[in-house]
Amino acid sequence: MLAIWPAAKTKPLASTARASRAADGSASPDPMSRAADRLPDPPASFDSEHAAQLTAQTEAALERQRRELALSIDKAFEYIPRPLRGTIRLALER
Amino acid sequence: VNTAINSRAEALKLARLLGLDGPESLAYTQQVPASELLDYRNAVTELLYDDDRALLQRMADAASLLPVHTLATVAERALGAPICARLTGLLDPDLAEEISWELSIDFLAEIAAELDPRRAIDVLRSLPPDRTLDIAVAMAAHGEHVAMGRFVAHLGYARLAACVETLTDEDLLRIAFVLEGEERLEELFELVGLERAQCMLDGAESVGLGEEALDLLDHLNARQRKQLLQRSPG
Repeated sequence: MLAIWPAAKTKPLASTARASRAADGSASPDPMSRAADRLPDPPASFDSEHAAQLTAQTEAALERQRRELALSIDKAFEYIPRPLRGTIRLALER
Repeated sequence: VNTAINSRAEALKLARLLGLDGPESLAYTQQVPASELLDYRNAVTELLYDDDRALLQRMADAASLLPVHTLATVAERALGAPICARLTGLLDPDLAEEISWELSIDFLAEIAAELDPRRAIDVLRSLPPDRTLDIAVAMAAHGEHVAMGRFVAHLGYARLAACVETLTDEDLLRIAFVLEGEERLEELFELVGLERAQCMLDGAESVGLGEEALDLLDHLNARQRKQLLQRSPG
């Protein structure tokens, strides 16, 4: 198993970045580059119900994107020639 | 200008960005001014593109360590179009172009549909015009008119003219409705020509694009609108 980002498959994505960094110490995304706490403010004209609805839809899109990235990195290694896998892993963990 | 129509156009773009099934998922946004939805969409674009940016940059840097055909295989079979779109602007443009030659037109169309063209201008300009046209035709076939509307501002005259000549009237109406960089609309109109524009507008209602036609008329300059009205029967 070449899991570059093993925690992503089992944990809620909101906490995945920090948890997986702690677990493997290297290959997880840099928390500083993550944007979960920077969800944009919804348009001022919305009432609170619709503002919450739009924020939830945006957060879902962000989580889906993170989930896809985590899974696709693991899958990518299936197509990388074996002799190059270590080098690529190191480059991603830099 | 009909503000409800403008808000619908913005809701279409936002729904596409958020990966929602259709604009009906955002029906509640249509009473909100289009300018507010535009600001929100721009902020979400930044959010989605910048998330995990450091990891994506490492992936882009590592790409130079692999053969191009391996990169193409990884792109198409493992990463998928949304991630490739985010990587496109981070790759060396020459390498991105090399990889693109190994990818199918359908997959390039899927990448283009996810791409923020502002972040990949060098790559877009490096594609040969006939390949750009093939991608545009595939995008239209996939119903990616919202995404196509983002590209118009970044296409040179010759590429835009080739697209206008090849795409259908219905495609052009749908693209014009969600066009980014509306200053290109007048040029688009000139490329379409008066006669075709008239046919396009006359036939719009019958294909359920009456609002799109009205919006197009609203955004033309006074001279162009007058030319069209003079040709209208009755």
